[in-house]
Amino acid sequence: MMFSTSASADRLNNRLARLLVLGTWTSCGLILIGIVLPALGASLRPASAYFVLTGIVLLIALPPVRVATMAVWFLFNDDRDFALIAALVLAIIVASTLLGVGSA
Amino acid sequence: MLATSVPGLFCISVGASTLGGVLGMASGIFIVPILTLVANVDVHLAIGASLVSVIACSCGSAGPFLKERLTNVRLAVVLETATTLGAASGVLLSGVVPVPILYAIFAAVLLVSAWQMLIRRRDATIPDVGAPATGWARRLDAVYPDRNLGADVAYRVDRLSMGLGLMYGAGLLSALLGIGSGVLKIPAMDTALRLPIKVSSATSNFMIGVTAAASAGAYFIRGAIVPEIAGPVALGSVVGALLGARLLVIVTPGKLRLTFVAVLLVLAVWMALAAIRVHRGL
Repeated sequence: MMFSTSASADRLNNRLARLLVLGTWTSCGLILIGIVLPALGASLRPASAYFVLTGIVLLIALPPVRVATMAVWFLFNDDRDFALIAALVLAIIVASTLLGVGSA
Repeated sequence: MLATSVPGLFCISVGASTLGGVLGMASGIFIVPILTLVANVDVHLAIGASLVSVIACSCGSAGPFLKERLTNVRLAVVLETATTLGAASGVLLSGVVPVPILYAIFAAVLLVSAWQMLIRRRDATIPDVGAPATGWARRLDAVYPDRNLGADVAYRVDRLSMGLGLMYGAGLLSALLGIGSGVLKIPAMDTALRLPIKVSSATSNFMIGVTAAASAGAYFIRGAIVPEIAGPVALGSVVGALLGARLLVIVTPGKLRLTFVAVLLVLAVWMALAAIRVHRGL
């Protein structure tokens, strides 16, 4: 029993590690492309801003996606308490983001 | 101005983040003062850019900690309820706190960080005493691999409510100042929860990204995250964090400790002077 819980916890850890590292490199890659593009020609400037913006939005979205992944994982592993807690964290992040709309 | 050009911002961020990385601190505590004081970036834009870089550094470095089972993901998600609530409060506050007060709070945080750097962190002794043997908090207990012992070491999570309280404060500071706020997370993890240092560092690093994301979304909607600033700053911070981690192996942080205390003190005084200058409208 103990062994199987720890093995499944390892699977969660590995999945989260893959998600976070892949997400960070993808968004950093997009930002890098966006920063380098204007050096190749002024006509590429609008496209470059789009790359940087996409990279930044992806970075900001990465932690909530990580929390959502945990919520789903806990749910499918019969750990309702922790699935609920993760869902609560996700709800707070959404609410906190929406506070920006009111004060924009 | 050279410092606010893309290469300038990139280099400043590499420097600030390398400095943070060598110390095992989040980069934000150096990035915001350097961007505002040296590069003359508006403080709200500096905080927005710093939040993005804090997320990048947290997510980018989480891999090895997770794979080595140093990160306690269950404890992290429980504490994140407090840090994100704190971040939401910080978002509300950041709209009303005047800029001089913001500078003053930052100066205070730099001072406390300098003091924390002087006193070394230690593993809590006899972590079992005081923790109830049963209860919900026991579901957060875990084991971590200790390289020195070559074996798994079990640890308990202590005084969860006090930890949650400090984490709320950490989230608030993070959203208000754009920092990872290790300044409150370290006492929360070491003094309240009494975790082994490696577990504490890994878990707090894991949480920093979620905490920063809770406020970064609001800053983004408000227009305080400008791609021209946040892009190079985020990229530079990731490069700096990688460099810092490499340097950490080569240099002995003990010898550099006093130098860094001095850097933090200088920044604290500079921030305090900026607070007075802005307050007087000079």
